[in-house]
Amino acid sequence: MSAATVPRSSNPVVRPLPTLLSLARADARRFARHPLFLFGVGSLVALVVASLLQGFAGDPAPLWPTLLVALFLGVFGFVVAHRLTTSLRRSGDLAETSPVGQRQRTAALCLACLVPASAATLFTLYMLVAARIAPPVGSPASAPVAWFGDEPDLAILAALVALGPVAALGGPLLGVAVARWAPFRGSALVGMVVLVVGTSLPSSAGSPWQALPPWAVLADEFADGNGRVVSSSLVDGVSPQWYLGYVLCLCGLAAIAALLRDPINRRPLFAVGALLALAAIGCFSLAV
Amino acid sequence: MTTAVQPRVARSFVATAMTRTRVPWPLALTAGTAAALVVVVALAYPAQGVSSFVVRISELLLACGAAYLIDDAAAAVTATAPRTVWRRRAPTFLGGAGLLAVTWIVILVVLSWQAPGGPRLAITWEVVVLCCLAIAAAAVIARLGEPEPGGQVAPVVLLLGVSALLTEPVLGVTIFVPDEGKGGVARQLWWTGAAVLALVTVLVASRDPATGRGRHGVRLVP
Repeated sequence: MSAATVPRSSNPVVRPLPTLLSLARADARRFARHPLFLFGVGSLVALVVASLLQGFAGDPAPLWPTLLVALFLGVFGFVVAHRLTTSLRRSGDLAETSPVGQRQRTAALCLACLVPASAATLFTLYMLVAARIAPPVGSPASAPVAWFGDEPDLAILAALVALGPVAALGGPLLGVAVARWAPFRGSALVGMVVLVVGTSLPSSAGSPWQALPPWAVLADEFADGNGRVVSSSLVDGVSPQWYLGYVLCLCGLAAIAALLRDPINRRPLFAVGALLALAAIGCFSLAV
Repeated sequence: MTTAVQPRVARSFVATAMTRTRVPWPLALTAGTAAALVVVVALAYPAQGVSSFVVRISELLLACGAAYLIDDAAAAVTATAPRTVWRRRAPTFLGGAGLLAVTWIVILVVLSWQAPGGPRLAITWEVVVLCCLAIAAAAVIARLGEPEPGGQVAPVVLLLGVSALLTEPVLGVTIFVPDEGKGGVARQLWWTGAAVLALVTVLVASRDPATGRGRHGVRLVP
């Protein structure tokens, strides 16, 4: 009689960080290949090409293209991130067989949101280069414009970052959070309506509420009698630097909210979330 | 001996519609949001009036709601029933279209109360076309095998609509009805063409394979 013994295999070493990065790379590829993301990027590229064909002209309101970045990368990114997150739910049977926890998958999705932020950074760099070639000018030329030279450099830089790359990061992060907490049919639509309406309505309100939404109007535009914009300036009473800190805190809160969905070891997340909430309140009160 | 009474088709149709009329909850939600948005803005800014941006958003919300009219979570089961596609969809369509119409009338009343005049008929036609386009997109996706296409189509309708709203002045084109008038014949022709295209798409995408003549010339369902 013989006894077969199976040698005890050593437990596989689980290395969370490489696993997370691998997942994030895979999710980033999915994000970058999503039709809606490609449509948003394509629309931005088409607008850039159209502006190149028309020839560079000094825009008296050089900050307004950040609105298009926030729309085509931030709002579109919201839906893309929502779709990618709920796709895990749609293929739940398959997803549950993987040896990776739900929180790690959520964290990977949050990291994948850097894809639209990177695209927005590239577009912001293009804006800087285009403005370098054809500096924004008002009409008449002595009229102020919301750009380097007429406004503090740090304020313009903060406004560009807050309204461009950070907006393109925050939208998708919010999409992940909404999909994790409300994965029902129609939650993407509800979230997007809240995002669009909640951003556009306070913008027309007076200070300080105009700085409350995640994409605020930081520059006033002035038009002549024909409705043509002739000059612009940063909004009085809103500090773009502190507003940048505020929206960065909102991004962090969206990521924390997404990660909090899994009921395991929540205490550190609650602590970080509380700190971020306090920081957001502080930044907002300093911004207005 | 009992005699089986065969109900007339039309009577059965109406009875089914009346007893089983139902509205998808996302449609009710979007319609309610559209109306609430216009009412809240009208009350919050009585002097300025409701901006055309808010009206457009409410139009797009109604179109988003219309995208859910095709949804049929049990499509795999109901497709085997001896009823045509349109008879199966009729209760939802009647209820949903009614809710959309009532919501739009409420919005028009609020707009008229705030500022009499304006291109009311033109923007109504805009809503109708937007709803047709949303239904057409949903019908195509449903044809491809997705039982609930509304969840896919509705966010895209809102995304594309808001994109069109924001890029309209950049591109220098008139897509939506301008505040001051109907926006020219070309714009109206585009919208009418879009409506016709949407209706044709809905009809083609909603062909019921069970009611057509099969490859062998056999009519499967009378």
